[in-house]
Amino acid sequence: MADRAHLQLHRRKLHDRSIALVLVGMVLLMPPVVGVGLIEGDIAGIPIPLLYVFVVWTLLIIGAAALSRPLRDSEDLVSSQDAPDNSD
Amino acid sequence: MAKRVLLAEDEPNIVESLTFLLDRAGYEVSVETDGRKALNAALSDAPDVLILDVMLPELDGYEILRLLRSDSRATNLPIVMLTAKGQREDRETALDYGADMFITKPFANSEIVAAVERFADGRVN
Amino acid sequence: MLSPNILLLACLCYVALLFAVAFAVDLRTRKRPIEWLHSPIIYTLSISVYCTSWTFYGAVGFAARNGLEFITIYLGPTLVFVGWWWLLRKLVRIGRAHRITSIADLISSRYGKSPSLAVLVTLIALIATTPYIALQLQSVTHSYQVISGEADGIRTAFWVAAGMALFTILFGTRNLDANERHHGVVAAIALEAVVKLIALLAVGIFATYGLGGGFGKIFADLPPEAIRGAGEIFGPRWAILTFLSATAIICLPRQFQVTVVENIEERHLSTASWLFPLYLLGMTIFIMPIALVGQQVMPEGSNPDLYVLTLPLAEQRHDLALLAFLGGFSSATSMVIVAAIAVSTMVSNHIVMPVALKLLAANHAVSGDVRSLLLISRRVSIAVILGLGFLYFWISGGSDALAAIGLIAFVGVAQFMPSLLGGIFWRGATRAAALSGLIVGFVLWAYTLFLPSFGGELILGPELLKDGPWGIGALRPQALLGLSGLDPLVHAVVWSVGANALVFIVVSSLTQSDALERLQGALFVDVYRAAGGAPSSISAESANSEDLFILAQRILGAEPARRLFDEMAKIQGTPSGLPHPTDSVIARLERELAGSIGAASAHAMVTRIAGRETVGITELIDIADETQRLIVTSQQLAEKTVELESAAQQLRTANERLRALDAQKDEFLSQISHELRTPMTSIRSFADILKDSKGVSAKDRKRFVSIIHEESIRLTRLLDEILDISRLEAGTTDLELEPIDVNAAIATAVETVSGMTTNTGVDVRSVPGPSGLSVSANADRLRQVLINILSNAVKYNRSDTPEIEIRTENAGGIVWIDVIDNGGGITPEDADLVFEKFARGSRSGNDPGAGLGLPISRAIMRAMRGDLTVKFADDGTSFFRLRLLRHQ
Repeated sequence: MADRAHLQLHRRKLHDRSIALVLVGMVLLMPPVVGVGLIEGDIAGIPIPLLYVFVVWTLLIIGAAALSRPLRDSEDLVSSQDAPDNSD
Repeated sequence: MAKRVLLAEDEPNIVESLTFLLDRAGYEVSVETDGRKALNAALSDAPDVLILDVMLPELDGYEILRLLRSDSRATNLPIVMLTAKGQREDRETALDYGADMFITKPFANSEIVAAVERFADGRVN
Repeated sequence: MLSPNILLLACLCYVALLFAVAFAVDLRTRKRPIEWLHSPIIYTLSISVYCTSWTFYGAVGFAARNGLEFITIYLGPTLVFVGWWWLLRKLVRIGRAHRITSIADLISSRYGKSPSLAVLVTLIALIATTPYIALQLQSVTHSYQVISGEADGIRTAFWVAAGMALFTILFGTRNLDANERHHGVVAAIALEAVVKLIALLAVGIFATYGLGGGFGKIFADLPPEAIRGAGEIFGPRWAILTFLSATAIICLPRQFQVTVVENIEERHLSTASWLFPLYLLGMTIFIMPIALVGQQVMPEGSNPDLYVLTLPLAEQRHDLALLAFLGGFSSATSMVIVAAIAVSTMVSNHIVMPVALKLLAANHAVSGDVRSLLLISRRVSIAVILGLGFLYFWISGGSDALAAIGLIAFVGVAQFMPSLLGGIFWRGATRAAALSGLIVGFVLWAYTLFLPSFGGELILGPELLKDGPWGIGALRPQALLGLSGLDPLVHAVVWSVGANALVFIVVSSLTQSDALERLQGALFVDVYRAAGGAPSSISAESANSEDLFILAQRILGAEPARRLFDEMAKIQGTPSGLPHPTDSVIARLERELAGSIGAASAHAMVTRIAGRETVGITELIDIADETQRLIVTSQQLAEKTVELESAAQQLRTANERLRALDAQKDEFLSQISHELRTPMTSIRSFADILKDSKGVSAKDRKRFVSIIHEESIRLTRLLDEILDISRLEAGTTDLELEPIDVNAAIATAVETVSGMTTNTGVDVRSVPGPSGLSVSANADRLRQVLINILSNAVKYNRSDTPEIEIRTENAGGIVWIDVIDNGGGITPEDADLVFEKFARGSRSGNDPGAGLGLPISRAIMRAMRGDLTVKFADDGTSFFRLRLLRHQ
């Protein structure tokens, strides 16, 4: 029972993280917060606005990749390959 | 006095043969060839025997039979029916209506003569 | 510049490669699923159909004009994929559970399989997709022109369109997968995705490091406008564009196709959630550098939309230019192919097939092979869609107006968003709401964005755009209700999507949904619950039972349904309430319903309500087929019943006729018997007399013998006549008809009876017909009839001055011979009787031979296609009329 409850909690946390990721991404990439990137200047020769957007984007991808497998394993996903056709 | 036979028949050849037969047997034969006249003659002349063909013009034999039997003057008149149809229903109809005898054409002469003799004499007796 | 021949060769080789890949994969998949094709990478690559030539070429132009803003087009999809767990997973699950074939199918299914909704969504998709396809044709054409110097753009566009139509038809409609999956196409698209990524990266690296000297150098001393664009970059337009692109990655028909419909395994989504954004990042990382380098290197006034191609060309890197061209070609073709498949599926499933099925049902034709009909309608739809795209390109003349089309199409399909999101997250959303929201959104989109994009050349004139319809400023398409000062795109999105969503929510709260709609709504919103094996909550089960009960009531009637459910509940040991929808209950119910509505329909309805499985197009076709068969069968039954009834009626009539014939035969036999007995009586009687010859004079004897002789003759004649009339009436006597001169025939007959007439003193007068008048008759038989009639007239004439008049007349093709005598007519009552066998007219008196004369005469006349009747003159006297056909 305790295991099961623990698993449930773990799942819920995962789902919460996944929505948090999207919300953070939306906030960071939408006005007004995205306006923070409008700082004059550059880092390593790359203008800050451009860098900002691409960095947030990359972080989102990393976050999604990190969550991808746990999320996939957290629940059985439906597959057409359940009964492979072996007639040959 | 000779017994009188009324012959109601419309076929001339049959009339001729029956007249000859009965005449020869000693009866006085009178002939009517249509139904109405036959009915009148049967009631007014009071013959001893009536030979009645079924198929007569004007009034058919069954109708004459029925009318005669409902008339007091002819209640006891012996009636011999002649028919060329000869089915059983015809015979039964005739006897139901009160005919005394039913003879099918073609007949044997003796059959007719015997019938007339029986009824004519029976009446006398 | 490259030689057109080399370019053409490269194109053809590339296309041949695509065909080969698609063909090989299709062939292999049929035998056995190909492992690597089922990898999430292929799935992700196929989703990259999002990056069309509008990305490949257009993004650089976008960046050159508006700076960083172009990136929003890729940020929206990134957010959607990162949040896959919340939206895409649900869409894919619903798509799989309900065998959804397109976005139109999804929306109409959600709202109770509404056909009108399906048609509406299909039309919007078609309208939004056509210019988008035209845009791809334009980019291929332009790039081809740039790289080869070829001038004739229309011809190029035509061949591109035709080739793509061929490819799509070949691989998009090879077979009819119930799930609408196209393995060959997906493989080819994935290959194209790799090509376009490599091409764009190659050009980007070349531009950045080969020409620009690295990132740092490119961005050095750059005015801020280059990045920020002209206006306020991170403003409403930024947000709106991100929103639009997020919407588009879900609602574009081709995206829905590859993401939802072509999805093989749900877990592929989890990989795509980060891999697809990564792909987008790869596609966009060099866009800004290319744009900036292009602006620095290329001469003033060159089109930034083609920098990807013109940069390598200008630097004489023909290999790179060719690669770039193939990349652009890949982007365009993959979009066109998938869009054509997706839209043709909608057009065919939701517009063509319903009409076709209805027509089939109306014609009561055996519906035959619905699948082949479906395939044909798919193929025709594909050809039509590409034809429309080409036409659009042709008519718009490849103008720059097309460049804006990408975003305009995004806003068009964004109209699906409220109905889609509301449909899968909100049970209260209703069909009326979806319909009205879509219509309002679509109309506002057309009015504020789509039509104005033609710059006053389509429907809305330039004055109207400037001053509003009838000069009403508040109705200006690009400043509706005075909402001016906004970017036209933002304005259009705010109005169309905003109004759409608002109407959707308000109408949903005001209207009721019907049972099926509520059911579908529940199944869609709670898709995880319904599909997850054992139902997790009791309430879902009892809801199912209730729905099943309602269904049973509808079909079986209230009382039988109640009895059935009571019984099933009792078996389960739940005496009160409804039975649990166990497998046995469902199977039982299905059987009961199948009796009323057919097995396919029953299965579809019950399983849909039970939430086990859902109805797809193939099942709907099965239902249509079954209904069709039922219609045909019941029709055949009705026909059979009618046939049986008419057969029974015919039997009754025949029976009655037979009975009448039987009675007639009895009567006839009785008559014959009578007629034969009469002469036999005389014969026998006289023979008796002669046998016992006592008292018979010689004279009498002679006389009696002659009577016997006479009667024997009569008997023989009678028998002849009986045979004759029997044959005539049975039609076994075939009278040979020949032309007979009427006057001559009458003269002969009069001559024959002349002995009789002279003896009786009858005066015979003849009024002959025109000389040479001939009839079609048999000479002997006609004479027989004439003699019979004449002798009757002589025999039965009771006048003191007997007269007979014979009058011959003709008119048309008919000849009449009237025999009139003054000897006392036949009464009208006897007119038909005289033709009865053995019946004697009242005046026939003592004639023994009259029995069959007239019936035989009539039978003869009829056998000669004429007739014999008794007619009455005006003064009431009767006469015989012979009718014959004139010999022509």
